[in-house]
Amino acid sequence: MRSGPRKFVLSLHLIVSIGWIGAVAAYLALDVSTITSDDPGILKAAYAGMDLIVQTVIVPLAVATLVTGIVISLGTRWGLFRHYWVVISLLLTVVATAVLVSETRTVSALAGIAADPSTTPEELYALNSTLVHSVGGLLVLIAILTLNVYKPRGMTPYGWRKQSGGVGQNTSG
Amino acid sequence: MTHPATSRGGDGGRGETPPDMPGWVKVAALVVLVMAVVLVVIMFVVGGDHGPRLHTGAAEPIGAFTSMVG
Repeated sequence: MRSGPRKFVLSLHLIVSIGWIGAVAAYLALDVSTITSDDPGILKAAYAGMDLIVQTVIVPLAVATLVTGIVISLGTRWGLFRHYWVVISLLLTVVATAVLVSETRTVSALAGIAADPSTTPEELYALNSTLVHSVGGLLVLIAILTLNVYKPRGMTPYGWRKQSGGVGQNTSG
Repeated sequence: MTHPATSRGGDGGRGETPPDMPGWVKVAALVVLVMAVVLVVIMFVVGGDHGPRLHTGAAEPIGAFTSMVG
């Protein structure tokens, strides 16, 4: 990939991936309030806010991170499967996105119950929290970011074969 | 016979065999495995209704209130 497009995609990738972490941090604040607060008004607002953040910010940023990450990997010398740190980053991002997408149904259902006027305060207090997912997700995202910054050494057998083939045989594909 | 570069797991392996898996990958895999086992054990010990079924719609409770209140 040429320098201009590469820097553009890289910038995009940095914006959406770091934005993803920030959005999860904001979600986490609301998530904590569903556990610490016993004010029904705050609980209803927190669940509504969590649903809004997940649907309109976190999911789009996650998908954009995955797409731009794949594009930037394929467009540079790092490749997608040539280095362990890229493979692990990809794997963690795919898993985090999959869990996130499946989690949206739970969050929407929680928000729906919380917004229902017939829901009593006792029912609000008894709603499940998604704290395990939000804390776990944030830790995974921080791990991915750290991995991408340090880029620890280690070439996969596939990367080694590609490199050897490129040097010796110059095979296509 | 073993090429020095191939046994280190580094990026610069140019020997006849692929480089070994780096130590940090093995350590990370071990940590993830231990964490997964600990999580499963905790879920079994503590109980609770968390799991993949919770997201599929097959599991009943979105909130524990269905069993506590309803």
